[in-house]
Amino acid sequence: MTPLVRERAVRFGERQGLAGILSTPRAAHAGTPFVVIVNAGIVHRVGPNRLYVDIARGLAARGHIVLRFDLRGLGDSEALTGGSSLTSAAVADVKTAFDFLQASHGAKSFICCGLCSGANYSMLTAFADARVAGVVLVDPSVARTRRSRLLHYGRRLLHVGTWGALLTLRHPLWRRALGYQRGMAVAQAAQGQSEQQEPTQMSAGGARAALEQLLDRGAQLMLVFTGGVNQQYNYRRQLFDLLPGLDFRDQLQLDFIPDTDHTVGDGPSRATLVRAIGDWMTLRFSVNRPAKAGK
Amino acid sequence: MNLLFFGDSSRQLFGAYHPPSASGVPARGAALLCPPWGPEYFISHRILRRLASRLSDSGYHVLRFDYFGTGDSAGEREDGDLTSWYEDASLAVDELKDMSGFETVAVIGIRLGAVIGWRLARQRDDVTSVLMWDPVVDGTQYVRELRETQLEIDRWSLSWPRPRKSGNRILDLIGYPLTPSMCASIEAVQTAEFAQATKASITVFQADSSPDRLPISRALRAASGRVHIEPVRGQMSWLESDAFAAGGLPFATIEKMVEFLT
Repeated sequence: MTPLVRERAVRFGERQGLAGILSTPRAAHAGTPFVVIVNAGIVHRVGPNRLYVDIARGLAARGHIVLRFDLRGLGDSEALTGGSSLTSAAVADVKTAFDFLQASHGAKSFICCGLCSGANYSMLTAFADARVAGVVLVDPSVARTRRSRLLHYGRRLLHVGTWGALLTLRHPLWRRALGYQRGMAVAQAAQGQSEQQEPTQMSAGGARAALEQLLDRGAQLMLVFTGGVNQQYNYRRQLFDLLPGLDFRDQLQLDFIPDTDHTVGDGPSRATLVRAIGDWMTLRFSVNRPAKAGK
Repeated sequence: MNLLFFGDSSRQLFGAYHPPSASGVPARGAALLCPPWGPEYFISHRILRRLASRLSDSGYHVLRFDYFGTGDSAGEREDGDLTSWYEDASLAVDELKDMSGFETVAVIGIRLGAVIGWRLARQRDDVTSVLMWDPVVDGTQYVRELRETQLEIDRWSLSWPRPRKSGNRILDLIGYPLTPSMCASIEAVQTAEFAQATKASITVFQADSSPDRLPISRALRAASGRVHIEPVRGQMSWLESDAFAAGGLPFATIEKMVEFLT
């Protein structure tokens, strides 16, 4: 926390079952969207290696109101009950956070921000709720392309660690060959089935149409890919190969940071990321922002 | 459960206070939970939340908290070391006494949090029992293991290797900065520290396969009367090379701890 930022714990939603930390600046920018940060995996609201704390405080220091909270079943929020899927429950919880900020602070529009599964949930919430004016997606799920596969396996073949692991029998291929990962294969198959039911990948069938709708309504996208997912995303323009012909207009900012890890753990890269998100907010949502250039 | 900030305005600490939830049962006491540090903090969060909830069901006032520069507390990741985290924990003891109305407190700590709990029990008369879960017994070995885990990650990484040492000598270890001050204070933890007398009752939950079990057991028994070592089957994975693989909940161990305190 800096002297420019105040933080307080909040409870909201049905039975006050959702818990979060609201970061507010001493002087907030009027009219800019509020930022809601969505859990990554099962890590509670501080984010992996405290990434979300740094983002929330960095943005609040620049005049934005930021809520990082725990989805049901995570951190200090109540348990998830009932039969809804994790994805639909997550989207419902993020919408509840919007309702809370709307009622308590008069918020009108929102930026959804998240890493990994938090990015996926952010994107799905943006598809489902017109109050989302923009998304910051760090390492969202995307499919691989032929080029990304070639790059990945080429690098693996040239990587001394691969050969070392093969020779010392520590490579996952050995375990797979010996059948030790049967349980993992079952889990991966189940995950594949659930992904087929819900378009958590940016490039999945239904996602393209939803993205077009999102762009049509003027939403801004900031996408960040790190070196931590280089088996999945490993060259800057992979997104455009995955979504050929999709017109992002001037609404996309794509940052590719191959020399940092998935949680942006190292200090310099993290400072750069937090600054980049703040600059993007200023550029895209400043009240005095120049008019959109159009197609 | 009440989420709150406490402490000096320039050094706000985050806490989660669980009042006793059992109806018709008189409150049994107050318990402070001390988390581990850095990469191990994330693995333990769910465990501590569950433990707090179960203790509160059993009639305890429980306070979980984050050290300065960690979790939801104020401060940057580079701030603090084992000495200042001890001061934070000591402040949390006062806060818990104030909230609960109890004059004495039990402390439960995991890994480096267990070392902090031990130091509280030695230095404060109002900490009357300490339960240490897989305490760090040899700080030098602990730091070495963190470095080896990071090197293993680097070995597999396809990213260009980054220098692990930046200009101000901060090591990036598994997504967490280890400053020279942190490193020195952690490396100062040695088995001999546990061979000092305390009036508090001492319980250690330690993996039955841990090489630390015998040294800490000998050290504690050499100096203190009330020591119980509880072997835990299997080794908890406090340190995951993947920050997202926050471990499962060891229900049986948690229940055993609740049983011990009630």
